[in-house]
Amino acid sequence: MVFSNLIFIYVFLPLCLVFYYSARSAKLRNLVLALFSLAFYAWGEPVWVLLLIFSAAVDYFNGLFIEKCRIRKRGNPVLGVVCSLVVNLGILFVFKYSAFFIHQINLLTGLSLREPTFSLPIGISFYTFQTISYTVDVYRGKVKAQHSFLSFLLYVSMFFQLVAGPIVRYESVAAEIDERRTTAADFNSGLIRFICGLGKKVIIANTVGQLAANSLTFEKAPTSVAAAWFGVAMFTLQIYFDFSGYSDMAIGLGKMFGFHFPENFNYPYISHSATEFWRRWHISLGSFFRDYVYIPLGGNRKHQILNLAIVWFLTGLWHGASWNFIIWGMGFGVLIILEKLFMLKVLDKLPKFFSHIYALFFILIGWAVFYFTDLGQLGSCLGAMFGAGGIPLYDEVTKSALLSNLYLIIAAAVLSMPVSRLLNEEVQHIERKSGGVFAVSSVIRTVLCIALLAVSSVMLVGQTYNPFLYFRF
Amino acid sequence: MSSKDKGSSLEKRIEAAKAYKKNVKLYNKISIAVILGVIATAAVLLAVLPRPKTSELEKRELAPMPEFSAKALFSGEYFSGIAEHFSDTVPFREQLVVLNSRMKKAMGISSPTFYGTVDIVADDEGNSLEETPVQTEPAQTEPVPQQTDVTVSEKTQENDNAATETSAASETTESETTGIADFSNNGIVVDGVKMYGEDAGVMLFGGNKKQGARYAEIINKYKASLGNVNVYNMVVPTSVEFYLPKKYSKYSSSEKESIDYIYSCLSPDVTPIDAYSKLAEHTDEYIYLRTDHHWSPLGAYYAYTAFCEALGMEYHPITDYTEKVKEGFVGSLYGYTNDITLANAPEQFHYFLPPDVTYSVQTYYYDTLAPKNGGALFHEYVEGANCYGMFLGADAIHTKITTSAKNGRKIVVFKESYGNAFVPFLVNNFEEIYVIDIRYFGTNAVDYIKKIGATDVLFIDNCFAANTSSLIKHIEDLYSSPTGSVVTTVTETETTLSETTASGGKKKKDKKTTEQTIDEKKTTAQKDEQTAVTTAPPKTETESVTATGN
Repeated sequence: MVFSNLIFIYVFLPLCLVFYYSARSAKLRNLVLALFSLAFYAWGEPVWVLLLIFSAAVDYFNGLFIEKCRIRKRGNPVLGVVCSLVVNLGILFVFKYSAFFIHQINLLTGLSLREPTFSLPIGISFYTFQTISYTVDVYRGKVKAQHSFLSFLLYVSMFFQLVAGPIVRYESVAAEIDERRTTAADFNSGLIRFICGLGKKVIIANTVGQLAANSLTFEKAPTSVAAAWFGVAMFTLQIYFDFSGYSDMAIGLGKMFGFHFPENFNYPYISHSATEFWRRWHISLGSFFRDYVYIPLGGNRKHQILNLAIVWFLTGLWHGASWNFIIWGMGFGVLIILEKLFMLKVLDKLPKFFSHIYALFFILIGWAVFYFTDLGQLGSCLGAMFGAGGIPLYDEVTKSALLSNLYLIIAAAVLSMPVSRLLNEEVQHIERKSGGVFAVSSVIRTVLCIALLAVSSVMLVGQTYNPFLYFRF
Repeated sequence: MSSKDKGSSLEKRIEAAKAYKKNVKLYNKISIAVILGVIATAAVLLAVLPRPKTSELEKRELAPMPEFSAKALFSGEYFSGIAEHFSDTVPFREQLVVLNSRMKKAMGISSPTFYGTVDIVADDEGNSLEETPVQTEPAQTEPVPQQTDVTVSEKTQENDNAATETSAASETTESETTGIADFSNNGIVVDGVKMYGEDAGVMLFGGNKKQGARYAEIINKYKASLGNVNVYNMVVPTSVEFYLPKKYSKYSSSEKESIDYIYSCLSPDVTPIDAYSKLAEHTDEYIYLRTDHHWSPLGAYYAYTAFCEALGMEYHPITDYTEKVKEGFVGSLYGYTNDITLANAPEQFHYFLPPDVTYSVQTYYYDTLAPKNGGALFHEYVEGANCYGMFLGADAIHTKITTSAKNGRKIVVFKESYGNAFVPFLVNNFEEIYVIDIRYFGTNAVDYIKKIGATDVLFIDNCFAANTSSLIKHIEDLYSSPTGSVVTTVTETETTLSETTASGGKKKKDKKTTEQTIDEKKTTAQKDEQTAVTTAPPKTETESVTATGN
């Protein structure tokens, strides 16, 4: 299931809230949440839910094993980590990468090995990383092993972040899994956060996504330079609002149930360098690779460049089993290495404006690479962006698409900058001083929230519009 | 400042902070209560309100509740089916869909310029490019089901092989699933299109010379087989030819070019009818519907005058006709695009009752040629989006019109839906008019024409149809299909015509057809008649209509 779905908002979530808050004990609440989470997952993957439970069970026992080794001072706790890595990366490899890998072998050797045709279980890239991080953290002694399987299963399967992250590390929710308090303040801000995320996804991401899809079709190269840039720019907006909207919904839902997840996005498009971009984009993934790959490899203490190359290769590969993702990750790797070596110093001296343009340029090119899994199509799109083949500068379709959606596009661009946060802070500052202002702004806030929910819901209905008219002449 | 003042200001600040804290607490509770209240109310309403089953606007059946099976459960289809059903059949769906369009417009989210996938098919001046066989492939987001040519021909072959089993069912299925995909359709434009000073939409013409030649060729074949019978062909331009904004001209091929090309391929024995020039003379009059892909009855009248002139027949000036008006017509282009611009520009639907003539209309089922009640030239009760369906009734019905014009001329009209608005004008000029929709008729057309002793045959098709493989295929099939091959059980037919077709694995319903066949039950007497299928339709209860002359 996904959050931006009427049945989630108006059936699943209300039921879950009712059951959760009518349960009184912490244990019972965990049970309710775990059952709803499994149902949430099984909704889309009725079979692979078993894989999720398997992965959780393996690391539950790994954690206990490591703890036992430590207490009895017998056996090697590293085995637990090895087991976790082998099982989880094995699962990930089989389901996500085996087809790609065998395809490459077939290409290289001319063999014709059968390419497996697994459908990718939803969220597998997220929950395998979460369970790995747990076992590693137990090994490192950063967290205690979880003794309740129910609690651990809940950590792995929590429906808020199960499908698309953020990658929540066990240490950040360890305390809350067993004991948490939900305050009205948390619940309210979580609810508002959820609705804002929903709006980001339904109103902005889906709309600009449509514009991107219209400009960047897979059938033919963009018809003009402007069409190519417009399409890539719309995809740039789409992927941010889609992904960060989803993270907002996850974080908001977490708060409604008493969990405090770390932030996953921090206005990535205001960055002035690739390095900064990756500190602001999908933060939970970047920090995962930093703490579990880059630093164990030696970080900046030994062969830093090699470490960076490995991390960025893996980051690319994590996004999908396809060359374009690898190129995308490696491209950022190269940029970040160059920035480390000398470019950051240069960028710092340049006016902010130029470094911003520099960062945005490569972010956009990056998303073009990300968009096309077919390298041929990618080539023709990049070609079109730089006017290859003498294509026209602009065309009427793009012009009309831009002009007729101008308000939305401007709004999306503004909202990808920290304007609303600044506004919020400003309002709060005034609110503190005057009860009257507080009353008015509270009413406005609530009304806006309901409006946003209503608009999103109506648009979700509208998105099912699917005319069956074949023009009977 | 004294220490007392300091103290009191500090106290004040503490007070304010306390008050603020209290306010926040209150606000949080109220806010939660209000928002959850809204969600709960909506949840209850969604659970208890009746859910629609079909969508009038989209002309489709909404996703039904999936049937439970172990296979569907394990594949995940069962649950995703429930979710789809839930969001597809939201109470007040049609109103919410309209609200959605209005809202989007208000938020500055505009509809796309083009609906469907659009290719450049002409140079900047609008002249068609050399290579024009345009195969439109709906994009990912394109909602219209797509059927490849391969599948169509396979299906047809199946039909040929099992000729005795050919039923209207498979015929219907084929023509309907083919859908928009193999039309020479090139998307729809609403942006900037104006007709008669008001907002409108047009369908872009892709053009397909190869198909055009094939179309002419099959008409030549009919002429060759029919000997002395006069054969006419009229290819009707559509609104895109006259009303497409100039900036989009390279996205549509020239229909003039296409029509000229088809006519140049006709044998000299076939008479081409130049409807184009007549229509081109009257583009400031209401000759096309603005929100629909059809022409208007007035446009059909001008084409009719061209037809009469070519045949050397007299015709009444349009002022002799009784003009009638239906208000609030919003047609198929709105249904397809859901573009609020079109919904906001409803049109008047003008139609014309013929002067100085009486006529009677008998309709028959296509498959059995059994008579059917309720035939009429003008089904004047139609309203709203169905206005164009007024003429003759459903496309799936075969019509014979007997008129008071005792001149011995009998015409067979082979048409698609453009012909519907045209046929009523013929009642002043022909004693008997047989109207055959090429998409549904199932018996050998040449034998049929000979049997009824027709003097004239007209093939009337709009420019898209004359360039569309599946429609030409129908005309070809009618030419070669064996006589009386369409024996099928009556009861089955009834459902096939209304229930229609599987496309993309889903059952969809064509509302228009349904409405007109839904409440008809055939008598056993009629059922018996299907055993003796003849090409000459038996004459039974005929509904007489006398038109009022001016």
